[in-house]
Amino acid sequence: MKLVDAYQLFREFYMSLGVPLRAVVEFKIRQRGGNPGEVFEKPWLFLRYVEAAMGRHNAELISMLFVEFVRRYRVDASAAAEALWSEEGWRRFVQRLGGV
Amino acid sequence: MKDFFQGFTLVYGPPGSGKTSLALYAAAQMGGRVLYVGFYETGDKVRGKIEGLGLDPSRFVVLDYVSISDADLLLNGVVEQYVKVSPDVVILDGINALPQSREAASSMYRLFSGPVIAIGEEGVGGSHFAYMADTLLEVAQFFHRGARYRRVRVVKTRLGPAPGAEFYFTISRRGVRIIRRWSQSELGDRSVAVASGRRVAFAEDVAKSLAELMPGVRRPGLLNNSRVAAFICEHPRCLRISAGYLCDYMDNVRVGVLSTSRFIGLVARQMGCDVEEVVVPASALAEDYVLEEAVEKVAGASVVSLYGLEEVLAMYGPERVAYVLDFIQSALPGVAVLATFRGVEPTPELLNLFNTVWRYLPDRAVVVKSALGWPIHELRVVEEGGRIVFRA
Repeated sequence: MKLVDAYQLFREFYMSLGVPLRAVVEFKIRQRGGNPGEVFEKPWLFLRYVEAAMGRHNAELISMLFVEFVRRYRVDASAAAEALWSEEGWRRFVQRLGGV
Repeated sequence: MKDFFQGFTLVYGPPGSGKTSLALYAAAQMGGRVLYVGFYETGDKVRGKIEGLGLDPSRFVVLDYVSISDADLLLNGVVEQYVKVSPDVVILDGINALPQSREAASSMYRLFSGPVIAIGEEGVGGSHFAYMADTLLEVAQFFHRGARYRRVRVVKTRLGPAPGAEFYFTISRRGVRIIRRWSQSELGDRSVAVASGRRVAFAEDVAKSLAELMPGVRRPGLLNNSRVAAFICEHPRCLRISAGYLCDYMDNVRVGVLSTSRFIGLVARQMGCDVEEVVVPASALAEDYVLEEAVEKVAGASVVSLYGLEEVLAMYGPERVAYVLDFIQSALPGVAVLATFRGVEPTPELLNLFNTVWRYLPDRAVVVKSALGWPIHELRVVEEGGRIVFRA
């Protein structure tokens, strides 16, 4: 299994979403008084923001995108589905990737 | 409405033509629980449209998806939501966002167990989805002489109305209304109004010969779903004939009066009856909601009498006259229409809009057209004992 930094992976995933989608997400986070940069330190907050701003269905869609993204990197994606939903899920994902 | 949306329906057309409103309204008629999946409009806007159509928002689950490049993943997301919501009807708004492959179209066709209304851009009419669909509806909006028309054309059907059939439709707070084109073949056989004859009457010998020559017609009147036009001259007597007829019908039944200006009520008062006119300026008739409001005010009438159609004709042309008449008879099924044109000639195009057409001149009344075969075509107009009498 390839050793990958989970935070770096998330950052790359986030950038891969493309400018139009990122702009919408960031705008919605700011509109609710949040700080978009916070999600790079706490990736498990990302889908919470998306769900609040754009509905559960879009959060689920982005979670699916994340799983696909992780697979493309040829790393173990088994914990990716839960990674962005909770701190515990993120912790397990980090452990699975060999981090701490 | 259900006739149009059978099985998997693909609705396509340019932006603003009314596709989404048409689909929302149809879906609400087809099932209790509707799943709306959209790829273009935001959920708030769609919910606004639902409320704007007078529909119950609690019956809709609205999912507005963000735009992503991975269309296959988007399709997966839609399927997951469908399983979760388990709706009676599905609307897929913006089908161009999904993979445009034969496989995707085929799986979408087989996936949903209930009716599906898919909405796409103009180009989707030639796509794999179009080949798979049970029904193809092309929606368009156009403006002619300043008036707005929305049209739905049945391009393909396996179960509904014949391909090629075209209908106008309207969108308002009262929902979506399909406007059916009237034809003489829909003329009813039940009399809905007979004039009292107090102010305008046929001479006794004329009435007798009419009864003899027209089996089943004891006294001339209006049949359900009929359309009668009177092309009247500018002479005061022609106006009095028109107003007298209106009053005579009002003696016996409820008549809704729509007019482009306040004039028939004044003449009718001289003839001894009170008319409550619903005045709709011709300039306002370019939009449908004005017609909706007007029709609401005359709901429940057996006859709708229209005055000032010459203004509608001059402003928008005969197409709008036909549209107004079709609108009224679609909104008020079975109602008889009595249409009055003042100072214009009955052209062949206008004649086709009616089953019976009269011309009133100061000294003559002429039957220009009669679907039922009016036996006497020209009558003299005389005034006798305070009444206007038509004599042979």
